[in-house]
Order: sequence, then C-alpha cells, then structure tokens
Amino acid sequence: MSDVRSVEVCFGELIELNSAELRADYLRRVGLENAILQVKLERLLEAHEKAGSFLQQDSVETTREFESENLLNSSIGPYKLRERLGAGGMGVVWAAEQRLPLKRKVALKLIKPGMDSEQVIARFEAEREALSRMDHPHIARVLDAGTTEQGHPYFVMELIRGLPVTEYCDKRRLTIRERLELFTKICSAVQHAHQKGVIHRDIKPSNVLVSEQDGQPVPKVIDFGVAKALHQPLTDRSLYTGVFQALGTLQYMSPEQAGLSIADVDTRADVYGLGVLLYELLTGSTPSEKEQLASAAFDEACRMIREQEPPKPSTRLSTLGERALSISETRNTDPRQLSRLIRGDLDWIVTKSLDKDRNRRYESANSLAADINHYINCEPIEARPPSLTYRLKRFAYRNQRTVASVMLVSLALFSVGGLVWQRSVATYHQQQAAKRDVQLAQAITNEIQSLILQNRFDDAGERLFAANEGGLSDDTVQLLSAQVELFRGNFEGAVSQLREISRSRKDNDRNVVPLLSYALQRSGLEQEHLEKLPQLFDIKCETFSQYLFRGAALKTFHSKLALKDLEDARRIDPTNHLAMWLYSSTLLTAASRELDSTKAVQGLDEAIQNLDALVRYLPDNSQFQSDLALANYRMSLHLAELLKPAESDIFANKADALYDSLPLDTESAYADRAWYLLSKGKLDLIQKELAEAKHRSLSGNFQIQAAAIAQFRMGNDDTARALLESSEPDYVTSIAGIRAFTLLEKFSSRQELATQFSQVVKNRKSEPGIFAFQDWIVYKLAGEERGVLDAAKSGLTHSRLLRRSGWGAQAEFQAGNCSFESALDACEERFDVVHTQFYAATAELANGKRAKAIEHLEAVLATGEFDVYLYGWAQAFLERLRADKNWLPWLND
Amino acid sequence: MPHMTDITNILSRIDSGDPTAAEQLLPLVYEELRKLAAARVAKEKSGLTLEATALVHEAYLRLVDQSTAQQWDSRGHFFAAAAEAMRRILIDRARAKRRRKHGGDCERLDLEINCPASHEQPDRLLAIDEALRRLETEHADVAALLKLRYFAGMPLKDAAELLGISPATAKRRWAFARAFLYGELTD
Repeated sequence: MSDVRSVEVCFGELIELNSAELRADYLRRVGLENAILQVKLERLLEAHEKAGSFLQQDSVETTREFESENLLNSSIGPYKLRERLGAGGMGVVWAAEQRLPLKRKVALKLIKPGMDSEQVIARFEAEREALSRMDHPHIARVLDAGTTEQGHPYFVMELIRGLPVTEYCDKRRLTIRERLELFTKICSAVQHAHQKGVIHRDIKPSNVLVSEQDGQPVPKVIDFGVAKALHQPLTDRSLYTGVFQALGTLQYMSPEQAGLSIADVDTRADVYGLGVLLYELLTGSTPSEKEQLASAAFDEACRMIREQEPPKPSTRLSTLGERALSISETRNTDPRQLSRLIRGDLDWIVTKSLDKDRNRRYESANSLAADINHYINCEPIEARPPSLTYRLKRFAYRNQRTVASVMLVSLALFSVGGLVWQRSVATYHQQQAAKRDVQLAQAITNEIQSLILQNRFDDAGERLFAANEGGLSDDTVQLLSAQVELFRGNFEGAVSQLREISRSRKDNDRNVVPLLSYALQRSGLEQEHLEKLPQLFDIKCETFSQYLFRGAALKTFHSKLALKDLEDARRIDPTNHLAMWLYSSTLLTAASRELDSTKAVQGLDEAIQNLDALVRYLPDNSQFQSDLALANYRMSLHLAELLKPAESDIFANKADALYDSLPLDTESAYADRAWYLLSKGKLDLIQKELAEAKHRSLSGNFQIQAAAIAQFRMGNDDTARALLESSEPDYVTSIAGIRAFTLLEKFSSRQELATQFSQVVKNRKSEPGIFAFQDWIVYKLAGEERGVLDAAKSGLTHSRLLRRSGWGAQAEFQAGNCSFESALDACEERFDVVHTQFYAATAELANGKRAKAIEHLEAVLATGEFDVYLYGWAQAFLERLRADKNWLPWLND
Repeated sequence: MPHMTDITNILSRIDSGDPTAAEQLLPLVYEELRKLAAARVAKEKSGLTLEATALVHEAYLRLVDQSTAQQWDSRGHFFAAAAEAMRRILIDRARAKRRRKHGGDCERLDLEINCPASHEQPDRLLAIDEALRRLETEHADVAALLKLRYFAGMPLKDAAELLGISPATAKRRWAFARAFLYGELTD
C-alpha cells in the first residue's frame, strides 16, 4: 500500500470489504505507511456510511413505488400479493398466495430498499436449515426468502392474523396473572428455538402476535431468522444506525447488542428481550423509554442501554402519574393494587432478566418461565435483589463452584490412584483459590477504575466497601482506595495512604511502589518520585496493575519505557479503559517530545484513534476530550512542519472545536482550557472561567498561572502577582522565579532585582529542584552570572529530570562551555527548545539587545507548545516588548 | 444558433488535444440547452417538467453532425460539456429561487428540469455545488462522472460508457463522489 495508490482506488477497495473488522484492519495497514491517507480514508468511510441516499434521488422514487399499493396482485417469485397488511420500519407486509409447489396463504415481508440484499440472503441461507428444524405451536415458521427483480430482499412466513401481544393484552384487559401465563408460552417458544440453535435477536411486541383459538389467546413469535439476516455487522456503527432506526428496536435491544465491540450475541440476548417484553406487559412502558432514547444521539442511546440501570417496574409505575390509571385499567385493577402486585418478586424477576451482565441473567428462557411459575404458584423465586454484595458473593461463589466440581472429579480419580493424587489435588485447590483471587481482584479493579474514569468517586468508594465485605482482600482494597483518592485529586491522602501500606508491607513492593511513585509524581513531589525510580526499574512486573502503574510513573521521565509497560498492561487486560487512556496520553507525551515530525505523526495518530474511542465510550470524561484536543492540536503542528497545510488545518480545526466544547467539570479541564485560551489570546474569557472555577472550588495552580499570565499581558502586574500568590503555598514557593517577572517594572536597576531575588532564594526552605531554571532566568536578567551558575548547578544536582533533559546542555551554554547553536542542537525534546530559546531571549535582553531577544521569543512561539508554561510567558514578554520600546528601562543601563 | 459544423469542429479539435477547444464548447452547449428549454415553455403550458437526459440528448442530435462524429470520444466530450452546462443552468435557478425566497427579484420559473439535482433544496444544492468545486480540483475524473449523473441525469451505465470506464470503476467513483461530497457538507 504505497503513496502512489490513489485515495480513490484505496477507497474502492475499502468499501468492498464487508465487515467492520476487515475495514479497520485495512485502515490500520494503510496507516502504517501513510497516516494521512488513513485519515482521509477514515473520513470518507464515515461519510460513506452516513450518506444514506444522499444524491441518489432515484432511490426516493423507488421507495415511493415500493410502498405504494401498486404492487397489489403483482407476483414476486411464486407468490402473488393479495392484501397489504401493514408497513413497519423495515418494510411492508403483504398477505400473499403461494401457487407452487402447493397452494396456500402466506405472509410476505418486503424489505425496504437500502439493504445489501445479497448479504441479507446469504445470512438467511446460513440459518435456513436450523430454521427448518423448528416446530412449535407458538412459532410462526419462516418458509422462504429471496430477492425481487428490483433487488429487494423478502421473507415469506406463515400467515398469522393477530395483534401484537401488548396491544392484545390491553384490548382484552388481561390481568397480570393472565399476562404472565401468556408470557410463559412465549418463553417456551423462544426456548424451543434456542434448543434448535436459533436466536431471535429482535424480540418485541410486534414480533409476538396473538390470535384466538376457541376463545383462548394463542401467541405466535414471528420473524425468527429475519433479524439475523438483516443485521449489519454490529461494529459498523453508522451502518447499524440505519438498520436499527429502521427496525425501531432500540428499546428492546440488549446491552451486548448495543456494545462498541463485536457482540457475540447468544441466547441470553433473547432472555433480555423477553425481560423487556415482560416489563412492558406489566407496566405499559419499556425499561428505557422510547421518547428518552429517541431524543438522544444514537451513540448516547446505545450507551444508555449499556449502562443506565432502568427503574424497577414498580418504581416506574409510581412515576407514571396520570397514565397509571389507564394502565391499571387495562390490567383490570387499580394503580395501588397493581403496584403492590408487582413490587418485590416480579420486580426481581424482571431485573434479573434485564441484568447488564448476561452472566447474571436467567440462563435460559425456560428458567425465566420457571421463576414466573414459582411466582404464580406462590413458591420462593430464584431471583434475588441484585445488591453489589450479593453480586460479589455470586462472583466468588461461581468460581468456587468450578473449584468444587474440579475437586469432585479429582477425588474420584484419587480413590483409584492413591495418595499421590491427594497432594496434587491439594496443590491444585490452592492454585485455583489463588487464581480465583486474582480473577476477582481484576474484575473489581476494572469496575473501580471504570467508575474512576466516570468521576464517580463516591460510588467507587462504596463499591470497594461492599467488595471488601464480599471477600476481596484488604490489601487489594487499600490499593484501590488509594487510586480512588489519587484520581479524585486528593493527592496528599493518596500518598499518605500508600506510604502507610508500603511501611506495613515490606514484602509487597511490586504492588505498592509503582502506584506510590505515580502518586508522588502526580502530587508534584518530583524529588521523591525520582528517588523511587531505581527501585521501579528493579521491579519484575507480573500483574496488570504492576505494569499499569509503573508505566504511569515513568510517563514523564521516560515515555518510551512507559509505553512498553503500558503495552504489557493492555496485553493482560485489553478491555481496561484506564490502561487505554494512560497508554494514549503517554503516546501524546512521547509525540510532543519528538522532534522528528514523521514519527510524531505516527504516535499521535494512534493516540487520536484511542482517545476518539474513549470519548465515544465515556463522553462525560473531560480529560479524554482535553487529551484528544491536545493530540489534534499537536498533530496539526507536526503536519504543518511536514508542509501539509491542508491536513494540518483539519486537525487544528478539530482541536479548536474540542477545546471550545470541553466540559469544564474538573480542575484539569479548567486548566487545560485556560492554557488553550491563553495561546489564542482570549484573555477576558480566562478571567471569567477562573472566577467560575473558584466558585465551584475547581481552580488549581495551573489555571491560576494562566490567568496571571493573562493579567501580565494586559500590564496588570500587581493583579498577576496576587493571583500567583493565591496558589497553594508549596507551589508559591516553587514559582519564585516566575513571581519575580511581575516585579520587573518595580525595579529601577539590575542590582535591585539581583539583591531582592537572592533574598527570596535564600529564604527558600527547600531546593527548587526542577524549578531551578526559573532562578537562572531571573539571575540572567539581573546580570548576576554567579547566580545563574549556582542555580544551574543546584538544578542539575537536585533534579534528575532536569539533568537528563536538554536543560543539561543549556547549563553548559550558561557556563559558556558551548554555543547557543550547539545547546539548541542538544535539545532532544520540543519543550527543551522552549526553555532554551526563552533563556537565550533573557540573555539577549540582559545585554540590551531587544531585537535579538524578540527573535528568540518568536522561536518559542514557533514550537506551538502552548501547554509548556514558559511558552505563555514568552508570549507575554513578546507583547510587552513590542508594545513598549522602553519596557524595563533599567535593562539598558 | 451555433452551426452544427462549429460544434463538430470543436469536438474534433478537443479530440486532437486542443486545450482551448473545450472552453469554446461549453457556452455553445449552454446556449443551446437554454434555447431548447425556452422553446418548450413557449409551446406548452406552464408547469412543464423536462427530463434533463432527454434535453441533452436532443441538444446532441441537433448540434453534432452524426455522420462525422461517431466516435465515443467526441460523444464523451459533448456530454461532459452538456453536464457542465446543465449544472450552470440548475445552479442559476437555485440562486434565483433562493433570491425569490428572500424577497428578491421574481423570475418566471415555470419550467422544471428533472434530474437528481433538481430534487434538492436550493440552499443545499448550492452547498453541494460548492463542495463539487473542491472535488473537481482534487479528483477531476470523479467529478466528471458525478456531473453526468447528477446534473445530466445519465444512468450510471451510460455515464461509464461515455467516460470510457468500466461499470465497476464507475460504481466505485460514484461511491467515492458521494462520500467525498457528503463529508464536505457535514464537516
């Protein structure tokens, strides 16, 4: 797949592939060689899938023709259309007469244009044999399928003249008990199909028709095999948008069918469908209400189905208001009695059928029916209120059960084989128990981390508490609880909790040190974080969490090593979103440091794909959006560097759009947005949002600094300083150098600046670590070469991060050991370039050479690294120098 | 009215690679199509709908000397020009309709030309046309096919023959054109 191949040819090949996986694979392969081509193709594919009948006006004509009565008495294959029975979302149903090989009346369902007939028929043929094996009084048989001359697929089935089950029940005012009896018949039909290997996939009232025989209701489940044949690949988001909107079955769809990944739909999807049907028979509404789903975007609707726990039927009834009356009337009762009937056992039966996790649903349609019969016969039911503790116990129980059954088999062998077995059985049992713990821990870990990513910290805490009661070990609970605190932003709490664990469990370094080290880094305790690094490298990681947090801890220090660990974590658990995010944001870090734009584009490409998926999956997490915005922005920078302005613009626009719509709900969202606004010069907005963030207690050091720079740019030095001093006390100390910028106008000579600043430095209780670079910049401005060297030395001694970065080279430059050009050459990362250029600018300023200083500051802006804070200051310095030719008169002395 | 020989002459010059010839063709075809349409309106009651395909075919028969221009190539050139001319006519109409909607000058628009493009709302058609300009600069071959189908109402099969490409290629280009334009419009 080389560059020479045109996008048009590749597009042709791409759309020939008929599954989303194949297409994704094709795109990935293209991307390996040409990321831009991949982006273009992805856009085209997306448009292709969404385009519908765009530009194809002729298909409108066809549809009109197709829906009309004109087809009356026309023939389709051996069928003559006799009566139009009705039209649904996906087509028109006709009563037809079959003449050959035997004469009978059938129902013929003519599918709307817009489906790929060949594939529909192929999928139907694949199941035809299984369908023919079904023989059940409550199943309408599907007899045939084919394609009309115009290319529309059609299905032929037994002709049923009946009403949709919900409509029938309401019309006949069936009581709850009568409804339940009818419902168990439907269950038996579904069970029969399952035994013959057929899954319905689209159980809903309009597919369960009820007619009467001898005054008794006879339900018939129709359309077996149809849903599967009409199914487009589920991963194909936009494609199935069309199909499901057409089918109108969103509110009956199981969570696994609404998933992002390829759903291996099994019989339990039908159990879910039956659950929805039961819900509707009881309450007159579906668990996810149609109106609510209809008003949401398609992705959002799917997410609701996957994640939103529906209210219990009795709760739903209590929220229906006026409607409750008519609903209870059609059930031959009054609202209060109806609610009493449903509350409790029926609530639980429905809830169990609708469990998001299909492992916790009834395992078959039969067992659902059996539990309903228990209810009818006033026997204890199988379903239980699904509390978390209960679910955890079930989880442990399930695993124990496997252990137990293995034991039974082993014991049987033991009676033959003698003592040797006993030992191996014991070992086996221990191993299984250990394995069970690991599995349980990983399941809970995923659950907790998923809550963390949804910012549901309190829920996470509660779940942990319950998990502990359910048998999760204290060790695991403590580690997870520290994670909750860490991501909540309670760094101090997280660190002290982890220190505590680390002290009490000397033998367990592997589990604690990576997480502690990551927490230290997130807390800004750089020195301590770096001290942990040698220990980190010595650790031999084995588990998911060990790899995950070692990778996270290494992110800023060595992004390439970090990526390796994170890849390992993802290999162990590819479904964990925290791992996916940390991996993607590390890709972003690695790419931002990359001076080779071609390589950077590759990394960013992968990061954007992952983050895109995360944003789609968890649209409420602002961190993902902010990272995605930054990734798009960086992509545009690198593409511009590669002289691809058009592509660069695409990404820049996307970044702007993302920043503009960034949900401001966390401290870092506010901060990320503030730095972005700063780079765009939207200074007023920064102040406004800071006030808002303060009001919501979401303002942090970084947002405050951005606001301070904005004030400084407007010439309000005192306000800027006051803002900086409103940061957290430790941080105020760290940014002494930056605070000095806001005093520059107050000084009348270099001498004054030097004296005052040395005083500040002397009073500082701790070494500035990585912040030492601020010191040498200020000393340079003051013309205090001694101070510059001391600061450089201190930084290089106390900050390993400073030492290994390009600043080491910069220190050489300060010491006069190398030229500015070679210092710049030694910069390995783009943000080193920011610092080195900024320093060079201050050096020129100190020499009174404004024009040269301006050149260096412009070079800072050329990097585009707006989230490095010296970038913000460089922009501010540049503005002030340009606005006032005599800014800082003492510099000229 | 341009003489038949003029057009045939231009077509043969396009065929032999004269770059200025194509530019001369378009106004001639455009003029002829407008005249044909106007003649119909004069003759019939208002509210008449003309099929775009029929119109361009008629223009071809009237303008091109059948005895000297039998090659597919010259037909292709002619119809490409005709499609472009139809496009201008339809876009002019869309602009006029939009003006009318905004209370501007009132042009008599009792003649309808039927082709896929004429089913679009004026605003949207203008947007599609703008996107089409971008398609033309980046993928001229694809744009040529799109114009034949969309403005001249050519069935895909005929358009493929006129352009001298296989039906499979035509199908692919059509899909590409739709995706490209749709993407441009929704970005």
